[in-house]
Amino acid sequence: MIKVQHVSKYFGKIHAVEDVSFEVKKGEVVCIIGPSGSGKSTLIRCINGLEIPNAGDVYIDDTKLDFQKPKTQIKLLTRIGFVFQHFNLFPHMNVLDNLTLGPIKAQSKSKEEAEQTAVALLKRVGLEDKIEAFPAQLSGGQKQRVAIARALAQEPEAILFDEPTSALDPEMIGEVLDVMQELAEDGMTLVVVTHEMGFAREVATRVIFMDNGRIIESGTPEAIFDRPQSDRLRDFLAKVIRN
Amino acid sequence: MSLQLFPLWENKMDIIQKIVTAENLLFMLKAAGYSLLVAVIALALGSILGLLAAASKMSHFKVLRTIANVYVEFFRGSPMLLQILLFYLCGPIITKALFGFVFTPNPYFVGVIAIGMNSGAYSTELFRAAIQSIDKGQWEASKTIGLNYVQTMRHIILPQAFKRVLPPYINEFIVLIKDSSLLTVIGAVELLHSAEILGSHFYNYLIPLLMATVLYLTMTLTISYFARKLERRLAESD
Repeated sequence: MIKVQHVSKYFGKIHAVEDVSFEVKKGEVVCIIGPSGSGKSTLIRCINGLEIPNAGDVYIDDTKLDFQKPKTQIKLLTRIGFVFQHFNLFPHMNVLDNLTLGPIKAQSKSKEEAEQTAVALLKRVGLEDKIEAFPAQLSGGQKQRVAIARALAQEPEAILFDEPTSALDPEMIGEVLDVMQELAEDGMTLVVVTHEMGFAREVATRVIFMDNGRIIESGTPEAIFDRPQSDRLRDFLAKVIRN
Repeated sequence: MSLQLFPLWENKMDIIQKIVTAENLLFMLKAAGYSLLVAVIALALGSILGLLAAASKMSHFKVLRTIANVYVEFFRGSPMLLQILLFYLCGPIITKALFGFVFTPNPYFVGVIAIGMNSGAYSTELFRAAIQSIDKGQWEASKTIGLNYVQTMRHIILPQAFKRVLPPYINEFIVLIKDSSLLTVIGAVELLHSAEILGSHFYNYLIPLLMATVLYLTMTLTISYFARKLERRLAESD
């Protein structure tokens, strides 16, 4: 479904991502963990063209992304949804318009069809009563659920999550993770950059540990959390998991 | 004592009755109308120029950026009065040198062009700043749902930038109403000039100038009032 080959991304002298390769198969839930500044976010931003890698290739269903011609990539990229840490909802539109704008303008769906889908998706994330609300009237958790519904509205084959709960108040993290877990159970392909180790352990089919722009370890949640091989992962886990 | 220092004030009521007549009021109101018209057209012209120059400034093409920069710096960097005089007094010489024809300058027409071009320079920066102040996450979110550049501008960026630009933009309109008084130097009969005409006619400047002040304030305060109302309505979704 998604293939990343030897991707590197530099910001000036900082090597954010250094020669990273990995593959995500259909229906997989891949969690990327690692310390802040380890390149996790940059890596998934490279997958859908928000960042242009300095080297390496990204394939979506065996089609290579052409970073030089962004205009020809729009169709390909809408097959991958993206959920941001800071939601990035459109503040001047109500929830319904946030969900239908992309499908109507970018995917040439009819207004009726887009609205039907949007209503169904809002039910799915438990926000059918917020259809007319503006983003400013929602709590952080509600905003992020709307953002997930917006990503779903483009009927993607995979969704990338960039620290979806890091900007939330603690009591709202659960409602967002629940929605994500349901997506996983429905067979959606997910790539999640997260600091929620509980979620990674419970929901992920594979966990990738990154540090300093490189993949240090990758494996099943049990392998990563219970049998870490490297010192760096052991250090990291000791710091984030306090019992 | 004081009455002897200001002999013209002796028959105050007389003078007021002489100057504040329906005919003179109408004369000033008409002039105020011209001031308003000059401001409106200059604002419209300035908005078009401002949008074009703002787009040029954000463009990838260096030539466009340079042209826009020169335009903005010239009109912001020199006095508007100078620009009005330059356009009015030297306009015909310039068009002759450049395009080979001479025109007889109409003070209203030339004045509107000069003020409009000046206002455009300020609008350029207003528009550019408002567009660039929109969080880059809005661009990224638009990209991930498949919108192209034009769609993102039209549906996401400009509607939000519009809200932010509205207060300074209305301020610009008020500034233009006041700046239209500069056209008095090239003989356009706008509000200030009409007060001067009445003043010299009745040999009393105080009352006509006060009348002009009231009319200017009526225009500017009315605009401020409606601007505040509009802002409050637009702020509802924030």
